[in-house]
Amino acid sequence: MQEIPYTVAVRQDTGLYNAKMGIWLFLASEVMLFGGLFSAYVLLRVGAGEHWPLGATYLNVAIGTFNTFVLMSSSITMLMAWASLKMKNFGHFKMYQGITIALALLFLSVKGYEYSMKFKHHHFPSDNTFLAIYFTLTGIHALHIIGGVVVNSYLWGPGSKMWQAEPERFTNRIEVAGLYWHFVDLVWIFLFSVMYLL
Amino acid sequence: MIADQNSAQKEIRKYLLIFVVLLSLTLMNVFVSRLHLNISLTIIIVLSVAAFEASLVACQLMHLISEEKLIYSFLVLTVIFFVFALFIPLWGIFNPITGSTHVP
Amino acid sequence: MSESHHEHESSFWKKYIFSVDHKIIGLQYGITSLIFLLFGFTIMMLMRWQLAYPEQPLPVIGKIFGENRMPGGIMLPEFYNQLGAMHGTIMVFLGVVPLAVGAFGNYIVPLQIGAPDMAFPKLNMASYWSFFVGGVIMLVSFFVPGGAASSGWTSYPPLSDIATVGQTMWLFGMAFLITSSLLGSVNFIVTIFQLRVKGLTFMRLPFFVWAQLVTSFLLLLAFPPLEAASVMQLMDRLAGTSFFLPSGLLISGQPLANSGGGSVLLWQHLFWFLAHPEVYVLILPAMGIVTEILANNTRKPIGAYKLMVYAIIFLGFMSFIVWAHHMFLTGMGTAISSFFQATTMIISIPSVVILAAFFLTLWGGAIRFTIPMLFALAFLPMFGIGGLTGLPLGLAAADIHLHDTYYVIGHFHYIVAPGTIFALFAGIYYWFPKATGRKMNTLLGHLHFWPSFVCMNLIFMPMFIQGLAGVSRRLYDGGLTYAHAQGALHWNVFISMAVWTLALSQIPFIINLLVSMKCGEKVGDNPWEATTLEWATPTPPPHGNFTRELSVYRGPYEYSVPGASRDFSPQYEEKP
Repeated sequence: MQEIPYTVAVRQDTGLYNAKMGIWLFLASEVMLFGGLFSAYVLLRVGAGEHWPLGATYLNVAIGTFNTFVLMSSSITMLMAWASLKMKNFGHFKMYQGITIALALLFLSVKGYEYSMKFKHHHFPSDNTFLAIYFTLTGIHALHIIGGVVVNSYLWGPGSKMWQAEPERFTNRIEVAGLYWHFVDLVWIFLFSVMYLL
Repeated sequence: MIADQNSAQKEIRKYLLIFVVLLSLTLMNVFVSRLHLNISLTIIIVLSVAAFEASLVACQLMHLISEEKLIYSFLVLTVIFFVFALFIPLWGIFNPITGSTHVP
Repeated sequence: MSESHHEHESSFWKKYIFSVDHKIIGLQYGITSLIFLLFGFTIMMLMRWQLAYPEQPLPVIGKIFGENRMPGGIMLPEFYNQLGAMHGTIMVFLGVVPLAVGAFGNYIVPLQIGAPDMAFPKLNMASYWSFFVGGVIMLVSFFVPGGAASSGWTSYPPLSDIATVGQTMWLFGMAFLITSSLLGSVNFIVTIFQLRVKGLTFMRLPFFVWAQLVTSFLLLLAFPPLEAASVMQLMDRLAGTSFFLPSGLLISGQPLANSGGGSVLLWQHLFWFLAHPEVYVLILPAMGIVTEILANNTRKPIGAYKLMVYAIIFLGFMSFIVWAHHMFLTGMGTAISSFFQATTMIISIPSVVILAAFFLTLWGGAIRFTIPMLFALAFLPMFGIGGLTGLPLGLAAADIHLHDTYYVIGHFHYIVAPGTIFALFAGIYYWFPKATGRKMNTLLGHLHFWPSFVCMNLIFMPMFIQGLAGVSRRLYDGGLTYAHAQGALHWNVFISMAVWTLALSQIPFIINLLVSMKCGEKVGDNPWEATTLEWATPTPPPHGNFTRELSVYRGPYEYSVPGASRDFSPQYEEKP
């Protein structure tokens, strides 16, 4: 009676293992977090009426599109990392997981470059509510990317030792990390569309 | 899902196809935004395409389409509250107390 | 403090400080939250001096606070506001919820479902320490220049946007508390769904577990918008944004040097989106505890258990769509106001169903007036008064007169103080024997209960009178300079006296708690002759909880079953 059940095996009536349920619940709360931020966007934009600038006025759509491609690619490589483990190919897992992390860091660098360009041209969050919500939304999103990089790096590095002793449990961890990562990509799809394209 | 080599190859091909679709749709959305159509129309088109892209990520990449009923129930609940949180404050703006002239 | 050589023996630090055992974590939450409750109460005792004897020096104690808070022992308005904001914040976020959910939930839920621990023990530990850090930040905020947050626990902008540093600390403190809460709620939900023992179907769950499950969903989905709002307020305060600062704002006649374009109501919507479900977080665990104790001390099954379960699920759902009844006076039109008035009226129905079920349980019961039962019985009329007084507030037209008056303070304190807190006391007296193997002293229990019960009513009943007379809340001088208030002012002294007496009545409880741990009457594993699974463990429960394989054979409240050999049939025993 010491072991916690259903860490790897699924429970019959729910069809889930614990961490899978946990991550979906966490993602539900994240939907509400970004919901709060998007709600602010809607309210502020409607309140500003015609004064609200088009995204392209302040933001470089080409760079934003590039970053979107980067993140979408990382979603695919993250999924491939999990698929590699399902096919018992640890080497491929390491490669795909590594690419995922690299793409994430590229995204962050590009975002950092965008921010620094803004500051260079004296565009600060305090200038108007468009920039305020832009910096806040992308900032919170970037924090989520950083969190994902930390977790993915741990799982790529020291955490990957678990593959030797408990391969199924480790595969589940990658699946769960992957679900988080796809969510971060999903949020960006809306973020990019709303802030850059509207 | 990934039971053997064959089905594994099929799955991976599916993911790559979805990747291509996502990239294409993104480019299409960028193009639509550059057309500078009437703003309401732009919002509808761009958001619809974004929603479709998001559903691809959710249903296929996150395997939501084959997920357990319990997870669906959590998400349905979340979406209901998300919609309330997003739109009720707007209702407050569009239904102010009569006689007032400014937007709070 | 070094690791011993036995593989299952942990160091002192791992066993008691950085434990991943839900019982230790539950006790950590319990001790910490009780201390915060005491602190929050002390804050109120200070405030009550100012309200009873406005601008008179507080003898002896007044000098401790120094010249920048209480010069000459007389409270400054700024300090009063800090005390007010922090009393609310500490009681709600550092006291009641961590006790109700963090302590009781963590300790009892795994036991009641037959699990060896929570689903994610390490996450559980992270939850506690996040809460601890948040609490420390809140306490430290009193000592920064300008003092603690002073814009109410509701932190409305624009005031909160331009307030002193303490407000920034409040926001960071909240970030830690919200994180703690989110991690905890994921843990609770997964635990309850996944770790129920064989035979324990959802409709056989103790109502306490149902209450914690719904509470966890409220915390999971309602807190994030407040997190978002807190980030935006931090941006306003630290990065100069104008999320909540409207255009054309003047501070002391001077225009603010910001971009404007923000919305004050944006904060209110996002805040109350959390804060309304938060009040159900305050009451639901209490209802769960009361259910357990009523069943056990009436030796009867709970009236309409299934109906109560549907009611609590419906209540949880509705709690997300009533929030703007806190905003009736913000200029909302009739359509949106009617919507929120309607949902608010509807949400009173499940509460009434649950309260009615409680009263039904008493009917024909063989009532044992144990100390937990006294507190649980007192809960019923107190919650009744609190709930009924909420109705005029939920009706937009009546709320025009009552909003932001002492009527509101009376209403919600009736629910939280002689409501929830009494239920939490009941829970402590009830489960103390399981955690320690000893019962708390009955005489001290009576000395705690009776004066507390009387004082609670003496404190909060007059507030309805003051509120109806038009006395606003958050008035530093208690209404002294307010023309409307003159007829109701004398109540301030009366209420303050009752508060200080209430404080004295807690001394028997504190003594009881500390002394009974060492000297209380020793009892066995199931001293109350209860039916639920937590009583099947050894006392105190060891790491891993259960020493044998368990199965559940029946519902949670099979008391006085006809034909059974005893007046209770435990869930875990095959033969009734």
